[in-house]
Amino acid sequence: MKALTFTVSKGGVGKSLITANVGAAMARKGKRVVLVEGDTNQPLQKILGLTFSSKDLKLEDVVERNLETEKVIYPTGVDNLSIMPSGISLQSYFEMDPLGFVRKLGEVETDFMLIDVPFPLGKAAFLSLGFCEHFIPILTEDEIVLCVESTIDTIRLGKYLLKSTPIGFLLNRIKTPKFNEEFVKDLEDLLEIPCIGQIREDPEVTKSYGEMGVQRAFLAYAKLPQSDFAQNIDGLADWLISQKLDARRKDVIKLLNEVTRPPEN
Amino acid sequence: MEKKASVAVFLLLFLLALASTSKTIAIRTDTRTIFVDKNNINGPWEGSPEHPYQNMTSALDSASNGDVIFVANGTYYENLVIAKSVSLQGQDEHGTILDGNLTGDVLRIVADNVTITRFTIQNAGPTLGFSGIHASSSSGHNISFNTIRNNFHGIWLYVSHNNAINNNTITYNEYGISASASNSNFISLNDLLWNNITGIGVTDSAEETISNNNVSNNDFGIQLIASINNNITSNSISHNVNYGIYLFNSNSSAYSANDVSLNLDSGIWLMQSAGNFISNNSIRQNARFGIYLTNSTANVLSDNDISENHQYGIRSEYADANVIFNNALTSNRIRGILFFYSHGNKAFHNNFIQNFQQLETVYSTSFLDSDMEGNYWSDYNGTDNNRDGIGDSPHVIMDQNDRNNDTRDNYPLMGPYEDMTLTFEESNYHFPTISNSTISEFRFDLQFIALHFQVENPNNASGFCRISIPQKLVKSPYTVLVDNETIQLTVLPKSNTTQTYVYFEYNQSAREIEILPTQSYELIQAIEALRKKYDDLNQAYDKLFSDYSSLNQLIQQTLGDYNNFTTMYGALNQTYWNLLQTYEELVASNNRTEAQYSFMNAAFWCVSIVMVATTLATSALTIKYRKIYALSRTQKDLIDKYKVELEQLSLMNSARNQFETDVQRRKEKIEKFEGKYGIEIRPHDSLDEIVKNLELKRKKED
Repeated sequence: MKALTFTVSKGGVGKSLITANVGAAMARKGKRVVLVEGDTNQPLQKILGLTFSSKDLKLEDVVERNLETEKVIYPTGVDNLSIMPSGISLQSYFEMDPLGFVRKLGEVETDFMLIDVPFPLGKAAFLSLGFCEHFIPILTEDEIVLCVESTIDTIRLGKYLLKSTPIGFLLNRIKTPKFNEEFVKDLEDLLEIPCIGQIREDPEVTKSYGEMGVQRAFLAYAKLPQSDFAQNIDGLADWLISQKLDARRKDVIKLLNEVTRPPEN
Repeated sequence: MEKKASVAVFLLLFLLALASTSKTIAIRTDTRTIFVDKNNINGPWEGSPEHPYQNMTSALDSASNGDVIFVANGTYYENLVIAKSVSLQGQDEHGTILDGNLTGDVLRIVADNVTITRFTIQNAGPTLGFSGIHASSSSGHNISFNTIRNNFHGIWLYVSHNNAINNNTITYNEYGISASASNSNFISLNDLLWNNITGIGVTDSAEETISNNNVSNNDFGIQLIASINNNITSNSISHNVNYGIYLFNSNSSAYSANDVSLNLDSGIWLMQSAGNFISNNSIRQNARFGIYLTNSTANVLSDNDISENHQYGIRSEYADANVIFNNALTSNRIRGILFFYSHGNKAFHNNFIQNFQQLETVYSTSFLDSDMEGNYWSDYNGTDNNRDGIGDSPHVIMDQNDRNNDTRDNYPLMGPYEDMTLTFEESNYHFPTISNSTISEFRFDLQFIALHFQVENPNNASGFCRISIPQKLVKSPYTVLVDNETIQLTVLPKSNTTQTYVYFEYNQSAREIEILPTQSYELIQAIEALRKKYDDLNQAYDKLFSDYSSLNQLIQQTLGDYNNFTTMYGALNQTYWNLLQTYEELVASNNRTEAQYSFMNAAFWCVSIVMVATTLATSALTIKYRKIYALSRTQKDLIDKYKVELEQLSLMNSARNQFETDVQRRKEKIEKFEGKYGIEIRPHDSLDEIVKNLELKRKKED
């Protein structure tokens, strides 16, 4: 299993939208993909048009009661694409039973696992980055300074402490020609990873998030195949599949033990 | 040379002319005050304050036009002819006395623009025409603050116009003020009392303004003979022995807002007079008639309160085509109105209330309604089934002398009529009402373009109101609120594009009525609803705020607990992992020991039989082995534990090292990027800071 997460520096950059759509794109290309819903707002479920009742088993039940992981892997209506709903946020696992959480996630049999982390990251970063071998920072044109600063922090944290490798960064919601070729190249030099997608702002795509209660959410990759967004997502999926990414092999339990260890004094 | 001389002569003449003109002007503007004091018996008499003249005749002789003659207190027995435009000023109205010694006029004015003020003027000759002040063929006088008594005429204006006669007390003359062939005089604020014939008499005159005078206890109060276009207003005319106001052959005058009461004959008598407007007067308790019309036509009598007169409210004799409307005719002792050989008179919108007999007609033809509305008769017993404020059956008044000549009010009103008037933006708006309630506090609410008034009808269980509303001020359709509750209203068919007639009923005795355009009403309702919502929201907000505060407190408390738990958890976790490690090591050690023990046991049983003899020696060896085993196990425990510690130490330290290397390595790149794009990029410089910061963020977000 290859576990991936997208990291962000602020809310509203399109993390959940990209997670769901990339997952769907890879699934369509024949890979088994499991999405982990780590945000209590449940954006992934909304985008995929899914609803779970309080009676349905969720990730926290599996962790808490040590049940079989398969019980909370639900189909999504897209072949090969499954979802693990969670009634609590990723942070809460950190406080509840972080080791149980990673143990249970580690048991999942799949090609790719994409973990959707709520913003702000906080302790959830330990869990998601700690669990995933790889991560992809997303930057936006708005507040680029904040994005760059925070991305450098995340890269350093992930790489050196949590042993998670950044494999490339995404530029999303591009509104002006500010992100020209030269800028992107300079950004690649600075972050020391390649840019693996540049997605223009598209109001139709933004609607697919289903905000404001006006419109229902939808999977933009499937519904708007001609959009810049869908084409970038498709390319990203191809790229991810083609990369020889390391399968998960970290001893997360040990890692977390180390990270969560209180100071000596 | 000759030419130059002629120019010089011309200039000289011009300058002389200029100088002489200046001198003339200087003299004319230099008015003088001449002093008179009868106590200056021995002279000298120069008219100065130190040496005043002893009498007014001397002062007048020396005076010029525009001079002031100031007269000190004392009685001056003089008959003066004033032939100059001077101002006579007495020291004190009651102390400076001009006495005609019962001969001729006291003051006879033959020049224009004379002022006479603060004198007592008395005792002119007792026979015809002799006056306290006689203005003869001269105009523009100002006669004020004088007491004028015991003359034939107090003041007699004869062919004298544009005079102002104010604030005088004129008593015990034959005639108080007489104006003959004199026009446009202003007679106001005078007291005319106890004059033997008339208080004010006007003959052959026009355009007189007589206002705010107190005309009492004379024979006739005010008498107008052969005079037109006069304005008699706001006078108090009472206790006169004969008529309050008497008109003979006097036309086109206005008599308004006078209080004509308690006169010993009638209030107002119009004889052979036409086209007069008698309105808004209070004509009460006169000994005979309120208004007496004889041989008079086309007069308008409106909005008068004609009450409690001892005989008739209005008596009309041989008087035709008069219009009588909006009057209150109440409690007159014999008749409200008598028409006696009178024809074509119109009476409508009058309120006939409890007169001994409301109306009597004798050989007369009258019209008792107009535009399908008649009068209110307090003794009318008809019904109003169609609810329009008008009785269903006529009110019939029999002609006692001519049984075939009944007079009918075809549209008797079901309640007293009142023409409510509002002034808005300098226009008057009329709201004619018919109601069995007393209407008060009638007002206009500009904010909602609404009418407000109060109704009171203590004697009736149910009240009604028919009101006509000018569309121009308040637009239909209307909503009527009675004590803030909407009620049913009927729009009457009589309504037209300018006036809307509405009718509504109410139950209890005292009510607040509001009539407003339905549009305004809906607006008010909407505003009320919004206000209520706002209040609710406000309340909800307060509650939320209070809940929020409690919650916040709880969160702070929980956060504290959380921090404690986190610390405890870390410690417990550490202990747990240490214990787990120890446990795993113990299990392994135990397994090993068990295996070794089994083997040794078997060996022991096998060998023991053979090696009975060597038991003691073997036992010693066994003991020795066990000691060595225990020692090696302890060493292994220590090694494992040390290894774990080492690994843990190395992970964090190695991360820190790598992080610092990265910081150094990337420093140059960041600076380059910053320089190129003019921005500042400040990532964290230490791993611990990031870790700590994430923890902090988490707390804040909670």
